Amino acid sequence: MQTLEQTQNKFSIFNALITNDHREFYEKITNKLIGISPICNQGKSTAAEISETVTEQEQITDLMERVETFAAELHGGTKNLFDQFYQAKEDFCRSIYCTTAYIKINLIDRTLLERTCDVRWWAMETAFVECLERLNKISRSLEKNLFEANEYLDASKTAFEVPTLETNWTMRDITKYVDDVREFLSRKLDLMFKPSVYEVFKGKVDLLLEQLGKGKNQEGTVKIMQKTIKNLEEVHSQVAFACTRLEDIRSSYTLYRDLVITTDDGTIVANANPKSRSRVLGVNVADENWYHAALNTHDGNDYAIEKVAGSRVDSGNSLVFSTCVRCINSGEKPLGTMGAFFDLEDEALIILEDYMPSTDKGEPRDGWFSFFTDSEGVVVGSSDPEIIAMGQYAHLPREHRKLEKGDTASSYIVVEGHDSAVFSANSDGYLDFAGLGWSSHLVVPTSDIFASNASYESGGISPDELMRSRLIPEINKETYVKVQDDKQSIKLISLNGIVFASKLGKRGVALGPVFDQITETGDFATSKMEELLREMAVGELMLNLKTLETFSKQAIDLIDRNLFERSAAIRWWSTDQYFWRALQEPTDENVLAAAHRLRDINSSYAMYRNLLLADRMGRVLTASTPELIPDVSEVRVADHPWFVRAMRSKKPGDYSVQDVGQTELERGARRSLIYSGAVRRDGARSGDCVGVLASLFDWETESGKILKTCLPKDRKGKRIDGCVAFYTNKDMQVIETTDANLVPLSTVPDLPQENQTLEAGASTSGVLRMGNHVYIIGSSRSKGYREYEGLGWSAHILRPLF
Amino acid sequence: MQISTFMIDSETFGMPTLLVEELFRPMPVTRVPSADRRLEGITNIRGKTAVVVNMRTCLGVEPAPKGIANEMILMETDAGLVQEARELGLRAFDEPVVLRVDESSSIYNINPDEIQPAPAHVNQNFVEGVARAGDRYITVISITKLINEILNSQTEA
Repeated sequence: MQTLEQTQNKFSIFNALITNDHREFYEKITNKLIGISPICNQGKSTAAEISETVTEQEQITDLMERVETFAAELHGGTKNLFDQFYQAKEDFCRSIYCTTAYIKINLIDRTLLERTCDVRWWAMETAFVECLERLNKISRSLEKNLFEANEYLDASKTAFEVPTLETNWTMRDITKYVDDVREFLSRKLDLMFKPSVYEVFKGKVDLLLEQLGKGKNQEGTVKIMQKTIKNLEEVHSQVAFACTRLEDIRSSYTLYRDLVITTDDGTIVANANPKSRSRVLGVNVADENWYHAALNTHDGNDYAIEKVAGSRVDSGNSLVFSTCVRCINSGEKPLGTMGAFFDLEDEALIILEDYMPSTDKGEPRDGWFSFFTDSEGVVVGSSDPEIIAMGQYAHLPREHRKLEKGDTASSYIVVEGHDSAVFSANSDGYLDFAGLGWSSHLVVPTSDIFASNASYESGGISPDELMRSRLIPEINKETYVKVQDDKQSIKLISLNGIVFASKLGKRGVALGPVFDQITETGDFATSKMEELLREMAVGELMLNLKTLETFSKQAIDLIDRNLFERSAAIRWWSTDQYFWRALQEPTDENVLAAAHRLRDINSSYAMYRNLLLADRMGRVLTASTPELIPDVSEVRVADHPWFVRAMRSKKPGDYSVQDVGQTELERGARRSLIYSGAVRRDGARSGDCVGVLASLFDWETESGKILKTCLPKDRKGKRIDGCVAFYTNKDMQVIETTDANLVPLSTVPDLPQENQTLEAGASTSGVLRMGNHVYIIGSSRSKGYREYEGLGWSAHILRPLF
Repeated sequence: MQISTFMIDSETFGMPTLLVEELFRPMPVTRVPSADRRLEGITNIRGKTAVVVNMRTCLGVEPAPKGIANEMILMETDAGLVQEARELGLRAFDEPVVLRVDESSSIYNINPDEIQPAPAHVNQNFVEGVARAGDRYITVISITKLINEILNSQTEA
């Protein structure tokens, strides 16, 4: 890649950006207008010949000069028009593609924010805290056990000098077995974390103890060995429990390659990925950066993010979110760490391949690239790693490498031999997540930016109507008026010339052809310019339509991603021990503990109005919001769709969702989106369902916020008046809107057929007439996100034309 | 004979070019009280006061929507007619008259013999006939008759 100079804004026929069509166009107009001058000279000399008085001659000469002036103005006007044309496209593309680049980095920021919440929340999970407390304790006592066992066994060898009658072991046998067992004693980590090693060890110990038991004075050895075995068994059960919980997390939140828990000395004691478990458990990561960063966090609200390539945990490219696991009571003391290995590559690819035009095969179109760079300018995600290689410095203009928080930049560059434009946007973080200083870059072939839109046909709006619409910048409207004005002037001059000539009788005949020529040239040039202006208008329309498609896609993507998080959360929470305990044994104490747990969850996440736990009979046991408990306790939920579906679910990790609507569980006209998951006996992944956990998502607030961010803005970033954004459900009913007067809730708006019958993941746009108003509309239909299938919703953005 | 044409509501009307003095962009019109909606008012053109006749109203067409361009045609006075016009038997009005039209469009050469009589259903008596120029039909009108008609109706009123 090499950088090119910024395009010159002045029109030049030699500029490589000018399309062939326009070059031809310009030449035709120019040739015609240049032809005016000889015609006028001819007119002047004819006037001199035929005039009988000076006044007559002056009148004609004056007319000719006026024609020449207009021709020169038209020529200049044509150049200006092309300037405007190319500048407008450039400006528009800069705005739309910088926005697209920004949307991508913003999607990453939003995802990363959720991840920072995840790890902090999980690190406080009682199961992990208790597990680490136990393990730390047992580990220390095990250390002592093993040391003592070694001594005892040494003693045993000598004490067991005379074989008793009951045993047929010789001294040699004893020595061998004792040595065998002693060999294992130095392999503490293997014994703790490698079940196969432990099994062999246990077999040998059992055998040895059986024989030792028959000897004299062996009680000490037997006791210490039994204690060792008991401690190891507890280690295994703690590790297994922690691993199961981590697995539950990973199967609920599918964005992680692995999750690990380490002790305070950096030994991994549990992980989430069963495939790598035998390799990972017991490994010490004390020398890895993410571990150090985690240990250095200040408190439960603090976390660390490290970009990691090739950790001992996972060899891939991950972003590791980590934090300390702390004592529940003496909160400050670190018990160990938790590291969540976020699958950055995969997530980045989903985002990078999105918002790109694709070929019939569904691959991104050639010449289009999308990639992320970190604060150092190194590529951390690429839509095409063979061209834009991961881990390398991106070859970008300096300005694009030095972006400040939230900045955008655009330049012309050459990528792989193609003239291209690159648009970059730097992250500005999201809410309380400051971002990682990354930038998003989008490479678009120059030919795609300046492609002609002349092929666009009608689309439900006439070019003249379009010309008058609010889409068309004032300067173009002014030019349009000016061109029409010039056209009229030339016509009037030439008609008056003919009128004048006709009065001269036979003498005037010679002037006829001159004025005919002028009329023809004037008509040609002005109608060509009108054509170009209309092409500009259509181009403007096309880009605006595309913008609306982009924003509607952003709106549906943001809600899908948000709801994915909600579905992941409900799956994970429904395995929580407090809930199955309360449902299995609904003692006051257990129910209160469950209520506290619900309250903790609700206070950590702002997007729920209420969470509730219902038993298998459909009675609400408790809820997260204490003042709502009396209300919801009255409601029998046995026939509520969210309850029925959750009770019927079979597969581990199933959840169900009840589409936006009113519910008895909420007062007033509030509409809820309810997620539910089955709570199974003893927190098992399948089997007997003891109740249902449900979350009432704060639909109006959350969806309203997203819709607002997706309302179109002008080139200065100011929100455009009169635009409306709304969501429809699978029945095309409005479920949320930014303008309830224009697009009322629960109605089915009369949208164009194409906007109603979109395929999942598809976008479209067009012109919409509603009453006396004309709008352009962009729509996108949900394609879900990862395991979240989506509910068949669509997002729509309207922008008024008049 | 040269015929100057103008457009009213997408239809083409014509009159002998020799009767036309000048075509120009719309000028401000001073309204005068008149029962006849065909008379718009008066305007000042090159120091002369001229009566403005609205051709849309004359032809019984809806007034033009606001914002749509229009043009004006200043007619020759009878005194200003060139010799050739007189020889052709053309007559003009004594006072300057301006026609407000949608747009003045073109000038055609038409053989006077080719002007057909107006179809029977046309009841405006200022319509002289219909001529063909290329693929379009031109309704040829007599401005003198039109103006006289307006003035007569004025006196009657």
